Amino acid sequence: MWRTIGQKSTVERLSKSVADSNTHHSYLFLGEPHTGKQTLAIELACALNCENIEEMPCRSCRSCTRILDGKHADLHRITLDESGVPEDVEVGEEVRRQRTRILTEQIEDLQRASMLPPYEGRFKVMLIENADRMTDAAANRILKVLEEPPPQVVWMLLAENEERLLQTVVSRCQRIDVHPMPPAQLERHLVDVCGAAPEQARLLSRISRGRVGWALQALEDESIIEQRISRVEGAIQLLSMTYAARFDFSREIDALYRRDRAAATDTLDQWTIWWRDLMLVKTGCAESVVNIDYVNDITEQAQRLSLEQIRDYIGKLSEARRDLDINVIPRLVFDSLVYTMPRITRPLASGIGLPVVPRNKGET
Amino acid sequence: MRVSCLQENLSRGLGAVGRSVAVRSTLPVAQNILIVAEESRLKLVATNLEMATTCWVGAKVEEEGSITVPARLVTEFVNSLPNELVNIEMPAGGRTVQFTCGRFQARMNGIDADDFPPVPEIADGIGAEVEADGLREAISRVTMAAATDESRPVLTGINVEFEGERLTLAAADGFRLAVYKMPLAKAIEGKTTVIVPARTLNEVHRLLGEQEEPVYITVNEQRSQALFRLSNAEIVTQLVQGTFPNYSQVIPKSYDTRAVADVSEFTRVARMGSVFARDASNIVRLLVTPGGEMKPGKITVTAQAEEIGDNTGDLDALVDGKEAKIAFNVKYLLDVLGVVKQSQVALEVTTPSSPGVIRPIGTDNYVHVIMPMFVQW
Repeated sequence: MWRTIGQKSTVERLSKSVADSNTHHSYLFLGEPHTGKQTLAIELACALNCENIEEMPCRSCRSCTRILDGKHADLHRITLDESGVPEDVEVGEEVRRQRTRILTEQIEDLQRASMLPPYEGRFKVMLIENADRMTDAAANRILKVLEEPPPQVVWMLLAENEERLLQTVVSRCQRIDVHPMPPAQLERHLVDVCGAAPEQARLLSRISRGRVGWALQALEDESIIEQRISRVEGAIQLLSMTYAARFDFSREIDALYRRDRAAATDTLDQWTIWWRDLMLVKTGCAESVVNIDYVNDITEQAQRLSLEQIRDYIGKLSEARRDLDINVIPRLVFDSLVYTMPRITRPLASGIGLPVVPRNKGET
Repeated sequence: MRVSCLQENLSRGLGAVGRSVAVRSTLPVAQNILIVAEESRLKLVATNLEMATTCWVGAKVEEEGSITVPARLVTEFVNSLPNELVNIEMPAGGRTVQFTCGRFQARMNGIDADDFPPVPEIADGIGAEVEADGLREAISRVTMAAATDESRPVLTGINVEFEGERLTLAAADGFRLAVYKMPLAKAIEGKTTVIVPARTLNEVHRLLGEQEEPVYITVNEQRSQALFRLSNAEIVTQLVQGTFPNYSQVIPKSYDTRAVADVSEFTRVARMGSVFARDASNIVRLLVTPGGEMKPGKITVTAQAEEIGDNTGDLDALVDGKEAKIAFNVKYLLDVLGVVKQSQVALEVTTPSSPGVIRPIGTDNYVHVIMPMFVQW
């Protein structure tokens, strides 16, 4: 049974092509992080190799369980993770080093493996995570095998950003768009299937922006929510900070970026979402905001900013993301971001004001 | 699991499977060696998902069981033990194996045996039997001609053709071709052609050692896997999928000049040329001169490296036909001269731009074709 949720038509299509033995030799799964690209790809790998003909994937036969556990000899998987330690094993930061690119050598290893027939299953599955992070040389390397695919080999490329992939790679793959789930549908799923409290489900479905994987993770791991709160608060406060404080903040982010690139870029994303919310409120679409638990702050700030300011700053944020990708010195990027951010000088009404002293009822 | 065996045997077994361990793999368990205590022996298995080697070691098994342990760790530890009885123990359901040998002890954390990729079973299909001696010779004469770069996958393998009573091994990398023919111990029906990775055959060659018993080869029906059964080990290999180029067209049917020369002399002169050729794209020029009334024919080998110098050497040869010249990559020439066991070889040349052929004298089971280099004469 396919467990991927929110991708009904895609799942139907894939499941039919597996049943008809009419699968493509290479798939490109495109979608935002945590939308379920990997889940879908792994399930397709299960279906391709499932021993249970009645229901592919059955998720319970020997082949399926081995694939799901990451132990199947015909599932070749390359990631940005250099250590090769599976994600669920806890190791120190030192061991889990992240590459920033998928290298030619990694592709060559897969290419060599793809020449040989499957070891234990029906199909060899070559799974490339973060395929949009391939170096140009690596991408060109993979072109040849995509062009003349060996039999019984299925390539699965997972990518977030189509523009970063070579056009020639995209055109050789069957493209599968993995969309975020509509918040209402996700909310229902969280309540009905995962047993989340309605209020929590409403919040998660919104702040996850329909990314099922993120919502499910956040449901289990509270620290994700706490992290998000601290990042949103950061975005709120930054607007009213002095320039000196902002540059301190920039230094912190720069340090974070060196330590944990993903966390730092996530912080930037969080800012972008915040500014998008500001724009939504400013233009009168308050019902679509993501940070529904901070509606008051958003409204407050939106009133003090002009639409041009908001628009320009959103532009700055996406420029910053691009700059980081092409290896501009991170500190410069962050400094420029905090410097160009519009400043609200007056303290926010909902922020730190004077404590309201409750009046005693009897004293009048 | 409770088992004991001699250090010497265990060490030999680990050495046998050691080359099949995955060097870097997306599957961490492939970097381990599977140890299975069964009946009255210890089974050792390693696989890199291209080939899987199984080796059995005589042992006293008190309690059956299985586990996988990191290959390098266990091999280096066992190799440094004295030649005494090694006790291997692991509580049922545990993951830590204890090795005890005399005054030495080690505990290793392993991975569950169930996680180990199963060795493909090859029961039915085409079976063949070959003499160990012949196979050793065949492998050593062809594998060096296989391609090492992966741009044409089929060329990284050896084309193995079973037909009637004959086994033909061929390898080519686009610059040279080696073909070796040998008899099968028992004739088989029909014709079967598979491409075996060169690495696997080299491993078969290594494990053959001094073995005298015949080798059994089985190819499965889908032609996707093959099994080599040796006296002390079994190798199951994945077969390269695709069609090997039709190499018979490459072997010249005739020649204009044929020179028969002594292998050791030829090797010496070629090696001398290689010293200068090193700085000149490995090019050596061969000039074959027929003999006259009173003087023998000769092959002159020259190498010229610009700005460095040049050298010339010649050797006597029995030349049939007119004068001829051809230029080779000296590495290829030395490779073939190095594997020929016979004392004399024949060099057959047509024009400077057509392939040169080298055949050992006294047998017609080996042909080696080298593409010429284009040079200004």
